[in-house]
Formats: sequence, C-alpha cells, structure tokens
Amino acid sequence: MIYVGINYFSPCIRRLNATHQIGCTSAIHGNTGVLHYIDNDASLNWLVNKGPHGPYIPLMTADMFTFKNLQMLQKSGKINGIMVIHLADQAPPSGGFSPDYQCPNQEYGLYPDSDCSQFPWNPLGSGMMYVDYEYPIFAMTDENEVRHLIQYYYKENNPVNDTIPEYPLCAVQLSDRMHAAKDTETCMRRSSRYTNMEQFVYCDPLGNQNVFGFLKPTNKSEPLQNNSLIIAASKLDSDTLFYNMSPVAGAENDVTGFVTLLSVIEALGRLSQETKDNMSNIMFTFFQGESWDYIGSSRMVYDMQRDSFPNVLVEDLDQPALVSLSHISHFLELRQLGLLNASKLWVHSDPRSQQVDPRVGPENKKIYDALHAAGVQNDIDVNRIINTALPPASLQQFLKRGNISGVVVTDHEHKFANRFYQSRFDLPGLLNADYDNQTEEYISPLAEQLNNVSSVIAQALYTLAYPNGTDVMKTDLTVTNQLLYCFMYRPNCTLLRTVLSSDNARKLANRAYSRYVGVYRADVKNQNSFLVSHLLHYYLGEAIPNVTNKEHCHDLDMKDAVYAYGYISGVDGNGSCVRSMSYESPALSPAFLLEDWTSTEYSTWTESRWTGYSARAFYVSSKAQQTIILSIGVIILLVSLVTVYFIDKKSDILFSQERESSY
Amino acid sequence: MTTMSLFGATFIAFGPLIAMFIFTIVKDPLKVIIMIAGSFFWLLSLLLSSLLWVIVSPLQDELAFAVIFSVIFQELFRLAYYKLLRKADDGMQQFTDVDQDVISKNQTGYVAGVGFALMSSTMSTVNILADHSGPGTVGINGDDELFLLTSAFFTCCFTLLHTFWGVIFFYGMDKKKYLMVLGVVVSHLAVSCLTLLNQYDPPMYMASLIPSYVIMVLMGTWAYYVAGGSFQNVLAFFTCKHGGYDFD
Repeated sequence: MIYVGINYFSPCIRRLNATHQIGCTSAIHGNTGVLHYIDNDASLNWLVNKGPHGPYIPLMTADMFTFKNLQMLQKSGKINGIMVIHLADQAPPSGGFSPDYQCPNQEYGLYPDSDCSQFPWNPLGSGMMYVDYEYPIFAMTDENEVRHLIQYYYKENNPVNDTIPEYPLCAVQLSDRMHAAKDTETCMRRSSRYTNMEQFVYCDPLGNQNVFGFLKPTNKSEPLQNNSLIIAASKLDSDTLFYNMSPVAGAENDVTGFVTLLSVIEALGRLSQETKDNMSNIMFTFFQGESWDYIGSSRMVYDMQRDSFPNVLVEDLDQPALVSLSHISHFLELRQLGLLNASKLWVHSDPRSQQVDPRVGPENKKIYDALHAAGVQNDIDVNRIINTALPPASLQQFLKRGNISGVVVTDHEHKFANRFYQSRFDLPGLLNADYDNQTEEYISPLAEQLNNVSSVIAQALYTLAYPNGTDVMKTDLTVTNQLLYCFMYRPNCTLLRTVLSSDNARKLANRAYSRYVGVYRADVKNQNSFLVSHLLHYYLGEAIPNVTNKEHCHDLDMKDAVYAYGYISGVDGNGSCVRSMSYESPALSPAFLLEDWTSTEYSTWTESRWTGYSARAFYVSSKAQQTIILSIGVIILLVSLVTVYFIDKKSDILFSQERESSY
Repeated sequence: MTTMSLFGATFIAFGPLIAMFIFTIVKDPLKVIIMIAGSFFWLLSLLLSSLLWVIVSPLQDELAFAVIFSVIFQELFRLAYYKLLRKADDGMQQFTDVDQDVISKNQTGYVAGVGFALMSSTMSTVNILADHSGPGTVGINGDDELFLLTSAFFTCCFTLLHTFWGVIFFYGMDKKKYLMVLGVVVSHLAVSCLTLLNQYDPPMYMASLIPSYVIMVLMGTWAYYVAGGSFQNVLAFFTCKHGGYDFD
C-alpha cells in the first residue's frame, strides 16, 4: 500500500584496486531521495539551482547522463542517488559515450608514463567508471516501470511554470550496500581475518580462465625450440558501468575480435594432417580479464616466466611441452574489428621493441607483408602504422617482459572507431548485425565483412607458419555468421548445441551471456570461456572412435595429461568424444598469488561483495506534517497521563455514589 | 523520516491506554490478570470472525458483512467473559489479602473493557504503524495522505469506547438491565458501521470520525453515571473539595 517495488534495473557496483575504490554504494538501508525527471537542461538547472526538497534522486535520460552533468549534480550536494533510463529501443547518445579512460589500461600497460592527451585512443572517454561515487546509480531497464516513474513525477513533483511543488511528493529508495571499502589491500586484509573461528569475506579478486589451444600436439619429451611458436590471440571480456546489464554489451569491443579468431581456427583446423606437419605450431589464445588491467595476459606471461605454462612439469608423467617467451616467434593479436572504414584494416606494432632487438623489426614486417598479401586476395586494404604506440592490447604484457615480434590488428588507425567503448551502448545494432527477429540462416552484413577479415588472418597465419605452403585459406561465411549469432544474440543456436554434450546443450540460454569477467573461482569457467573451450575442442580436435558416453570420455581425460578430452553432441546428435590440445589456465592476477595487493606491475582489481539490491517508490510527507503529528501525539499522551492520574487520585470524590459497594 | 509520524501516531493511538494501564491497573496483579484474560477473549472473537470470513469466501470483499459479524462476536465474547468472571468471584477472593481492598464489580467491568481495548487497538494499528517505520507514507497508490493520523485517532476512540462499554455492559448484566446491554451492542454496531465510510474513494474521514467521537463522549458520560458519578462530583473534583470519606 505504501511502497511500489521497482524490479528491473542494473546497479553500478563497487570495485577496488591497489589505491582506490571506484563505483557506487548506498547506505545500509538504502538511499532515499525525492524523484525528479531530468530530460533537458532546464530540468537539470531547476534541480541544481532551485530544488528545495533535497536530497533528490533524479531520473535521467541517457542523453543527459554525461560526466559533466553528473559532476554538476554532485557539486550541488542535493542528490542521494541517480537513476538512468536504459530502454532497448532508444537510440544511443548521438555524441557517443564512453565511461572508460581516454587511454584505457595505460597504467599497467607498456607505456605508463606517456602523455595520453597526445594520442588518445578513446577521445570520447570520460573516465566515469573509475570515479568513486558515494551514492547508488541504477540503470532502469523496464519500459513500464520507467513510464510509471515519469507519471508519478508529472503528477506530484513537476514544477509547473516555475512553482515549487508541494508535499506529498514521490520519492524512491535505492539500496545496494557494498561491503568492501577503501582499497584492495584493506579489503583483502579484512577478509583474511578470523573472528571467533569465522571468516567474513568482503571482496573477491577478478578473474576467470584463459582458454587456449595448439594447432599441433606438443610433448615435453620434445621441448619447443626458440622462435618456433606463433601465438594468435584475442580477448574474451569487456565491461560497462553497470553490473549484469541487459542487453549484453561489448559487441564491437570484444565479440568482433574473438569471433574472427574462432573462425580462423575453424579454417586452420580443417587442414590435413600432412599440411599441419609441415607448419610451425600455432597457439590460439583467448584471454580473460583484459579490461581490468590485463589480468589474463599478465598471468600467462607470469606463468611462462616461471616454467609453469601450460602446466608445471611432473616426473614420470606425459605432459605437453613448456612454453616460454623465448619460444614465441610471432604474436598476432586481434582487437576491435567490426567498424572497418572503407575496408581498411590497420596493423599496429611497438616501435621500442624494434629498436631494442634487431630481430623484431624484420619479423614485424614479415607479419605485415603476410597480412597485406592476404588482404589483396580478400578485398581488404591492410595498412601499417609505424612509430606509434600500440593500442590497448594483451601484447603489451608480453612486451613488458621480453622482446618479441608482434602486431595488433584493428579497424581503427588512431582513435577507436567505437564511439561507445566499454559502455552499455556497444550493441550489435551498432555494427549492422541485427539478428533480432531473424532466423539463424540470415547472414548479416557484419558477418560478410568479418569473414573477409578472418580469411585475411587465416591466410596470414598460414603463410607465417608455412612459408612454402600453397593452400589458399578461406574462412567459412556460415561459420562466421553462426558464431556472431550465437555470441551476440542467442547461445541456444545450432552451432553451440553441436559442440556441447546434450545435457549442457539443453541449458543454453536464449539471451547472450554477459561478458564481464566476474570474480575468480578456481577451475570454474564463465559461460563464454566454457563455450569457446568447447569450440576449440571441436575445431582443433579429432574424434576418438568407440567412445559412446560422457563418463568414458571423462575417464580418458583424467588419465591423459597431454591431451584434453571433451564430449560433444556432433552434427548428427549422436555424441562423440573429441581429443585435442586445448586447455584452460587460470586468469588470476599474479598480485594475488604473491599477495602483493599494492602491486604496480600486476592488476589488483577486486569486486566488492554485497547482500542483495533493491529499489522502491513511495510518497513522502513534509517534515512539518510529521512534526505536527508527533506533537499531537505527545500532547495527547501527556494529557491522558495527567487526566488519568488525577481521576485515579480523586476517584473517591468522582465515584462517590457507587451503587454497588465492595463485597 | 517517518519515524516522527510513527511515534506521533503511536502516542495518539495508545496514549489513553498507556495512561490507564500505568495508573489504574499495573499496581494490582489481579487487575492485570483480568485485563490480559480480557485481551485473550477479544482475540478469540477475532479468531472466530476470521474463520467466518475465510469460510464465506464469496463475501470476502464485502466489508460490511465482516464488520457486522465481527461486532456480534466481540459482544458475545464480552458476555462470555462476564459469565466467566462472575463464576470466578470465589476463586479471586482467595487471592486477596484480608486488608487489601477487593475489586468491586464495577471495576471488573472497567478492567475487562481495558483488556478488550488493548487487544482491539493493537490488532488494528500495529500493522499500519509497522508499515510506517520506513521512509514512505501512504499515497502512491492514490490513497489519502491522512490515513495514518485518522487510523491513530480511530484507535484512540475505540480504546476509550471499549473501556466504557465494558463498564456499562457488566453493570447492565449485573442488574439485569438488559436495555443497557443492548445499548452497548447497538452503539458498537453504529461506530463500526461508521468506519465503513472510510472505504470509499475519497474516504470520508470527517464523516466517520466526528460522529464516532460524539458517541464516545456519550458512552463516557453514561459509564460515568453507571460507575457512581454525578455532576456534583465533577464540580467537587474541579474545586478541590473533599468527598465523603475524609478525616480531619
């Protein structure tokens, strides 16, 4: 009767690193504020300059939700929280929107001291997601709830013709209390304390599992030679200002990259065994946690440096060969690839490593030449950028600790083509990949273009691995399209049902899985890592005959430390056990292994814990009215006390004519 | 902060009850027992009313039906409690010391009335007060903003009414003046049906509250006379004259 629940929203949560806390939190029982609707500058100014009923919680349209406006509201001291409207059918802000920095992940990258203003990769970046807000910010995602809120506003709270609206007013309460505070070191210290045999954990490190696979098997009995391994890499994660956002964002940011790589793997996996025998080995790698200061890649390099990648060597056990930095001959990384301008692809390399190590320059040129030649065959104009720093890329983590030849391939020359980097607007619609209301057979324009790009990459990798080879590598458009469909739109698709076992296939969701890396749990892959891992089995592996059930396949997996086994449904639906060299490695920042929580070398990001979040709307009455009620109550109480006391004291006077005496 | 409204409403609703309890009941354990037992009897009447409401499910939306039968059950249980108390007279004699004043028959009526008042007001107000412990007040679904205040005043009214009805009812039953008993039942029905005016949109709070308070004052006067008061006594009270049993 008093409260109307608000159910469909995504909160902004708190995360911590070595020195700061960022994000939002509410007070323990929630933040209450009078509702105000900000859809233009006039209403914003009214709140800041005139609004007398503070604190407010404004409901803002996406266009008005800019860092500048947020700072103005914060400075006025009149707000207790913010709600942002985010509806699926509304157009994104025309001027672009990016809450990340202008040079994302610079501090833990290869160029921490360079001046970002000279070469901002993300010029629309405001850095909004790295600010510590002392109040909650919720993104409202349900059309009906938003409509009701606006109705309540116009009914009670709207200042018509500059009048001040009167009580009662509509208000909302937002509640998402975060348990962690100050920074990672403080939080980890508090979480590792035991009180009365109990341990309360306030935050968890971010991380998940990197997924990688080899084109050819390796064995520790034949250790890798120096400069013999090619690494083809991409990242699997991205993030937005809001947690658990729907629809899932990051289409241009991460999907275009890893889908291209998956398509390349499918094509290269199809090559005959004899061809593969003539090729150098390629390790296809998908990093997790790259958005949060390169968690996955920094950990992989750390493991490589300590001879524990892909696993620690154990006597008497058959295992894959160790990989270390010196074994890497070429490193090819794919980043944002969905917004090609005039079919131009850009190849970035690091100028410094070229100066330091004489081998690197010519090898970088070799990679570029392979890409360029492949581009000619596929109508893609591959260009090279010289003497400019690398864009944000996992390659930076490798170059921090070794000089290897490597390039990053993107669709942008200097600044990102993506005007919504790390924001909730980075959606498939941006990229001409609108699969909504389409069948699985629909080929999107993005799929066609991306397929050309993946053919270029596949051909270039083939050339690098097998310079004398004569095959022409073309990736399959159907495969590229299906991958885009499954990861951008609906995981419950034919392709993924094929590569999972039938009971896992039944659990596939109808909406895309969130690509936020999440908190680290040992040996647990988040949904996207899990799906990519199975796709790698399928594309790189060979079926084992005569294995008919999942348990048998699992047994084989347990006994074999070299190969990994996965049970898939297959195209015909009869299951089969597939064996390949594709694995996972933990993507947990070395800072947490070393317990160096103020590390400046490795990512220290943690996510706060919380107990539930909620929101509700209701009316509030004026302080005056409440004071009146309290006063009346106190007066009545006092009058009653006094009256009854005297009646009781003088009861013999008052009730003297009792008609029944005591007995 | 609706905490202020919460406390204000609580004081309005329970003020008289608290006062009566502190000054007239708490000192005598026997009275406390009678009061609590009275509360229990009222609770039984509520149980019966709810059972009826559940059973006759087609009429669940008709408040008038539920209200009338609830009043009938409450008065039936007041009768039942009366009978119980009279039967227990002998037993209560044993609890008293020889030199302490025993409770007079009128006082049992009063205490029983307070017991009914306690439980009746608690059951009707506590939920409303609990809802007001958060930051919000009534209104978002279109209800009147004076809901809390009106509920509190109604509760206060009913507290006093139950007390007065207890006195009148027990006296009427003792003296076999059944017209008085009927008067209690009729006035209870009248006030409860007046509250039905509050369910309309917009609710007619003044139309139900003011007549209820008028009836309450009338009942109060009637109970005062029944309990042995008179107009001269009131004058004597205010001019600080001493009554019958004073010693110089």
